[in-house]
Amino acid sequence: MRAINRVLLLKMTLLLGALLLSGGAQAVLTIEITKGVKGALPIAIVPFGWSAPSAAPENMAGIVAANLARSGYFAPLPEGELPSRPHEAAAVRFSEWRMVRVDNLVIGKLELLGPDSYQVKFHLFDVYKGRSLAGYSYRTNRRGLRRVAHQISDIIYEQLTGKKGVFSTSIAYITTVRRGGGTRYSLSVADADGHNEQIILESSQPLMSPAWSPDGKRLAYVSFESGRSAIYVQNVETAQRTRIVGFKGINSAPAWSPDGSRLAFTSSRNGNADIYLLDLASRKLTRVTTSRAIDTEAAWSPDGGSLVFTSDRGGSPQIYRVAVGPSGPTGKPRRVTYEGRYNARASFSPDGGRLVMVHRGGAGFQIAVQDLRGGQVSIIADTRLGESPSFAPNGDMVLYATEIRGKGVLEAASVDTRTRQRLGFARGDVREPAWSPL
Amino acid sequence: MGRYLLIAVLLHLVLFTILMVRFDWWSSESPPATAAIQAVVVDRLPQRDPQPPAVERDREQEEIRKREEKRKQEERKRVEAERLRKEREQAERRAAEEKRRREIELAERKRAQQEEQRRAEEARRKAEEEKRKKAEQEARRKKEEEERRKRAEEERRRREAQRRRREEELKSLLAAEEEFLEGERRRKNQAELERYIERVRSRVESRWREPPNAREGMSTTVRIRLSPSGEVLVVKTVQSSGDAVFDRSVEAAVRKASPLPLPSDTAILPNFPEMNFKFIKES
Repeated sequence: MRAINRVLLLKMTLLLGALLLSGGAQAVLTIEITKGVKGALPIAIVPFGWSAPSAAPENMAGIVAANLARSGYFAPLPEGELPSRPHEAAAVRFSEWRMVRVDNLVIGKLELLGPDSYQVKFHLFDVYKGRSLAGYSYRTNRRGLRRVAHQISDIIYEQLTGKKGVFSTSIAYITTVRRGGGTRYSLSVADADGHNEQIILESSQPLMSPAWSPDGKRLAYVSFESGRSAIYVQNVETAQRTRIVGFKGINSAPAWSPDGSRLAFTSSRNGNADIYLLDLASRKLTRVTTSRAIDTEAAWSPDGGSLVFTSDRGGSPQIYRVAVGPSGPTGKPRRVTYEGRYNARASFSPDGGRLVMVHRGGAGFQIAVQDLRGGQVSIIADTRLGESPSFAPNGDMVLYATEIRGKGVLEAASVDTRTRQRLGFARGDVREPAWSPL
Repeated sequence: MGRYLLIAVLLHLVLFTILMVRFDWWSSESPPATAAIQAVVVDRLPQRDPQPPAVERDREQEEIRKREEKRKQEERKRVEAERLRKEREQAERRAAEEKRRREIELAERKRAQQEEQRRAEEARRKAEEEKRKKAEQEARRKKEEEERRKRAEEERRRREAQRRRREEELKSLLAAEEEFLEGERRRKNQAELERYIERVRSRVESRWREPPNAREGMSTTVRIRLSPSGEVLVVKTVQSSGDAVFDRSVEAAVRKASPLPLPSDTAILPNFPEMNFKFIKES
């Protein structure tokens, strides 16, 4: 990088010299900039105006700021450093925002229109250009204010990064609460920031491995409610649920095909854990792996043409990839991971170019991303007990579980900037997060 | 000349020797021949005339007297002839002597004459030599004089050339100095410009946040206009990346960098109040 820059500088200098010698009247000095800063984009998010004398029902600016900060791409200006607090575009003096060196400014206001009826308006400004980049108005109820804040975050994110925001998406996860003599397991769905939690299933028996359907409406998961493992599919809105797989032995790790027509899962119905495919419409079962080793934790490639799974057929858990067609596997599994003695629980990035997985490194079980073209492995979260990583639907972040002082927590790490944010949960051990589709 | 002298001496010596030898030869050879003849004649006479008989004495006497007379006469004649011969010989000898003396004298005279001639010749030669030497000396003097003059002239010319050369050198030295200073000024300006560019670059770079969606090869060029104090007054996108977010990040970076540093001399900047920035996303 340095060398390249030096060469470039040299070239530039030569070019410049030629330019100077030629002394052309029309020649304008051109300076090349090839290196920017990787840091977060400074942004000011002014607390939204609120007309009523009571406290605002939701801290809209706070939600937006937290969302943007969690992505790793933004550095919201601390509230105490705001030079002013305009709520209207007309009140914005760009010079003072330039003074505090923020690139962008978000202002807005919240108005009570009627009983449980609110209007939210916001503007996003380019401080240096001195103009508005986006401005929207929403009408919602009290419960919808958070969602509106996430939507505003998405708009800002997309405007300023050129990528889709994922703040309006949901995460599903398993919470374990020990109370008295018993343990309660629950399957919950929350906003991507961990707020707005809704328990969709509770059980005294273990619940495991929630998996979103591609349309984001259903969850497949493993429940031991019948005394042994079985795979269920439940509609998130209606809570309607169906047992899909209940073979003898282990039934685990469900994964939806990208078109939503099939479910890949692990079964030991033939005595040994192998990967199977179940066609949800025809109930047709296809065996994908036949090794004597344990094959589990299947995940689909975004194009639906292959599966990755964890197998210890080589002696230690590693990731393998197998091509699949409509009637089952179309090739032999090929090993994908070679770095380290332990790689497990892989899943694809939305563009299919990378895998995120649990990688056993020096410090413990880390969250690692492997580039499928070059094969390079990079640790994006140096956790001691990281587990169940999955990409955000825009591919910018990875959600995973880890343990802090014996308690399971969820964290989100940005893939590029390597920032880590813990998602706040009030209660219990939180494990096995799954990020919903967009 | 010495050789002639030697030859003359040798010639005289030879001549003298020859004369001496001949004289000796004459004096030692000739008389014995004469003496032998005399001796023969004297010795033969008694043997030939034994004692005549007495009868005849008178006549014989007469005869004897007559013969005696005759002999006496002959003797006289012979003595006379001898005397004449001797006289003649003496005369001859004297004449020869005289002749030789004259010859010697002549030779001597000739030799003296030759000597005189030689001396004269010598003197003449010497005079000529002297004259020649003098002429030569004069010529040499003149030549030396000429050479001295020439040398002086050359020296003068040399000095003149040297002076001119020094002047030239000084002139070219001054020119070189000027050129050096000019180059130095240019280099300084160039260096100043490079430093300035680096300052601007680092200021802008530190304010450019590459947007997350930036892909390798994306590039946006903006033209800016600066106020005299370096404020970025106008930012115009002259070449868009095609991506609004990327373009905006570029404009923001440039505007955030305002005011830009100014060079100590704005003349080093081509088309000064305007400047281009080309932002390129590298790997």
